[in-house]
Amino acid sequence: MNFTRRRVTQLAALFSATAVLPGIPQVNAQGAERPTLVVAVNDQPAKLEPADNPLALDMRVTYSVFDTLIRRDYLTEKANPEGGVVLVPGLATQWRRIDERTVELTLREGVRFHNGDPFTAEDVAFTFSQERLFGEKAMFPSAKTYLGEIEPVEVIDPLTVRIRSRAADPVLELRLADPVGSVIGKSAYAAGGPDGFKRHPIGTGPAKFVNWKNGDSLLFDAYDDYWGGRPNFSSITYRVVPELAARVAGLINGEYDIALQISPDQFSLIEAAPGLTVRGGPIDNLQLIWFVCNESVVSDKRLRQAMSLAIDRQLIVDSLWAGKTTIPNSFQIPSFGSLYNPDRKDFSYDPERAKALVKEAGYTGDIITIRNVTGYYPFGDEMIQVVQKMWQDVGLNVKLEMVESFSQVYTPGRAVGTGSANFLMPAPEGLGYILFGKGSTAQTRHGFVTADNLNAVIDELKTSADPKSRYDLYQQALDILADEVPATAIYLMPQFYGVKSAIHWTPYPGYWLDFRPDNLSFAN
Amino acid sequence: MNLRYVLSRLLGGLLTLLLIVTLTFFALRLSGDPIQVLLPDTTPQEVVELYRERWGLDQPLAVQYVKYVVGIFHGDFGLAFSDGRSALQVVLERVPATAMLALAAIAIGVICGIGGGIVAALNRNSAIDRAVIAFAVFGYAVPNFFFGILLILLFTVKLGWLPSSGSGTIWHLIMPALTLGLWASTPLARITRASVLETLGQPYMVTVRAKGLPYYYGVFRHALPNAAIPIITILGLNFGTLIGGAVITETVFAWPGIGRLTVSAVANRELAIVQVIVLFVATIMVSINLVVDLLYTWIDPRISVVSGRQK
Repeated sequence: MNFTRRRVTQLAALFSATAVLPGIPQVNAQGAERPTLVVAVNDQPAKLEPADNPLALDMRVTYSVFDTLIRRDYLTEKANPEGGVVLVPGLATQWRRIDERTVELTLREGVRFHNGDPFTAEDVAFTFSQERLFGEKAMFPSAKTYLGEIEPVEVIDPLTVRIRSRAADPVLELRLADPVGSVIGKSAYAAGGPDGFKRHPIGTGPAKFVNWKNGDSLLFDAYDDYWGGRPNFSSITYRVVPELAARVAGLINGEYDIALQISPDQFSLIEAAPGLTVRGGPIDNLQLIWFVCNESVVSDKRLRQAMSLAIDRQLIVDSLWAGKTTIPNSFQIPSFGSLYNPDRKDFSYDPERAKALVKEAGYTGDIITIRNVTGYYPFGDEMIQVVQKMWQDVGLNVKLEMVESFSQVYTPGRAVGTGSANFLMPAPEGLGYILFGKGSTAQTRHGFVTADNLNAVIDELKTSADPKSRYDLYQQALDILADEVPATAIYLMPQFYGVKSAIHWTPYPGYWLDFRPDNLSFAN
Repeated sequence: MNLRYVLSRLLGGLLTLLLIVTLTFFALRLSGDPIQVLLPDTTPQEVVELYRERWGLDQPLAVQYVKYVVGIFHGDFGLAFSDGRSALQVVLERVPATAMLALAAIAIGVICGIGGGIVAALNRNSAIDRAVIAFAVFGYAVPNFFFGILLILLFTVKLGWLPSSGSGTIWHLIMPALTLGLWASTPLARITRASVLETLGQPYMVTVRAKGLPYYYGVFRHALPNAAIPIITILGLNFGTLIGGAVITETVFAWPGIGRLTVSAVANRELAIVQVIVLFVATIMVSINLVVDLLYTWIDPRISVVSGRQK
């Protein structure tokens, strides 16, 4: 028997059927009025500034600390998946388009930051200021990747602002709903400075920062003056538990209410325990395999087409993810709404056609080198090994190199690599650039140099506001990508959570966790 | 004790540290561009260049090195890329947790390892002796992560007595300390047993018995001090290793010590933090070696130091 950590945890199921008993000490104390919430996370963020190069670790925490002007209503979207994105008021109660570059927003009255400061138009102006995000010496220039280029905010009156992008931007409202655009308090920021703020965040959200124990935990109290209603928790503790087996053991033992990053081999163990369940599923993140299009061995697009056709994605999803995630039909996600085309079939499996294309491309057996960063993506190592075998089965000579970092991936000699495309907002622009377009890594790093026709289409798409025209242009772009195959998608990356059944909480298709009153409550 | 010898050892230690700082500095910078780890792939090139300039990574390697070494002599060990905090502060705030775990583990190691080794030696070839040897082999053979998870299964999942992981109370300390204590005790048990057995056969022990002194008085007054040199050596090495952070055990039990910080700092290319950790661990190891060497002369007066050389 192979005794891996996962295996040991599974073995626990055999003799722990009676382990979750009433009477076992529950570590999380119940507050006098409202319960505490203890969330076991795999790692801790290094900073909690929503615009500072936001990582998944950061966003899962900051999402309940800060608010955006406009919010995405994930619960309504989930109830009506065909309806696309739903935007609702956040710190702005209403908004309207002035022109193709400008949105005017009416701000919510009576909102206060965690430190008691009133929320005003000046805070919005500072949040989107040149000094903080968009100037030449901005504090957090990486925010431009997601927010685009925005001019200084025009304050019309204390409750009205105009936000204007430097160029026509049909998705400006979506950008304002992106967590990177969370509003911060100007005076709190001035008091602590950017470095102080990173470690002591002050927002308007339902979770108010209390304490940061490095490597151990983050503690937040309920912010009872939250404009969206009194939170249903008394406090939230994000406890760092790097080891999956320990997270699951702590969940079963009642120490944690929610445990993150659960893999499918743990599902049966969690669901066998009374009072626990598994939630989650695919998020808006495509697991990709990209090709170095100007590397001679894969420079013929027929070979790249063959490599995409040779991948049995369903087998991979069933084997690695127990069938719990979905296979995209192109470089798009359903939450694109009116831009989404459900009829595309860009990632079909046809090994016979793949073999024919390999022959047609005149492939002579040269080594195709794949580079993969070990352990970077959940099940990424296993996935690429399966793909390697599938490519070998259609007659390709494939060598897999497992490396430590992306800088090693990018050294010369690689023809294929693994990556992901994380849509922070439900639009082609959601990656910070339009997929594989100008400025994308496909063109800057992976030699996708035959992209002139794609760039022309994307240039038009970026400034087009008409939904029909945007749909047509995006389909054209996807047609080009299906033909050129600078990359291929394998599945939508899933995120699973072990949760106490008594907790009414819905995970969103992103990395962030929402503990606002409309998405978190506790059964009696 | 020769002052000149101590000073020369201190100077040697400082040179060792400088060499380690230099090797770590260049190894880290040659092993990959931190920008590619810290910023997403989607970051525009001009933004990447801004960050490169902000973090001083745009300067020639030699300039970065000189600035770093000069900074160290001024107490400036650099800043963490991710949150801009002092790297020294980031590392030092993890030291108490690591020190607490190391001390607890060493205490368990000393009690079980040295105690077990003495008992085994005094009961040579008996069932007790075999049990201690079996324990030592088990402890040596079982990986920490496996033993740690077995403890979690037993004390958390099955019995519900202890929290599965984390820190903050004495209850959180028990399982990681046991895991590391087992690891620390096994070489101590084997070395102690062998060393005590060797001294028990020495002529002075025959003299002790011939003088009619009580058996255990002879063992504790004469056999153990003479068996102490190899035990002290192993103890020093173990303690140095534990202070450097027990990566696996800290990860399994979510213990907020230096070991986990090392892993995350290396993975995220937090150059300043990794350098401080390496310097810290190297300082500890050099100091412990020095202390162990000095202890030799105290434990065994036959070992003396003359003109900077042991003889």
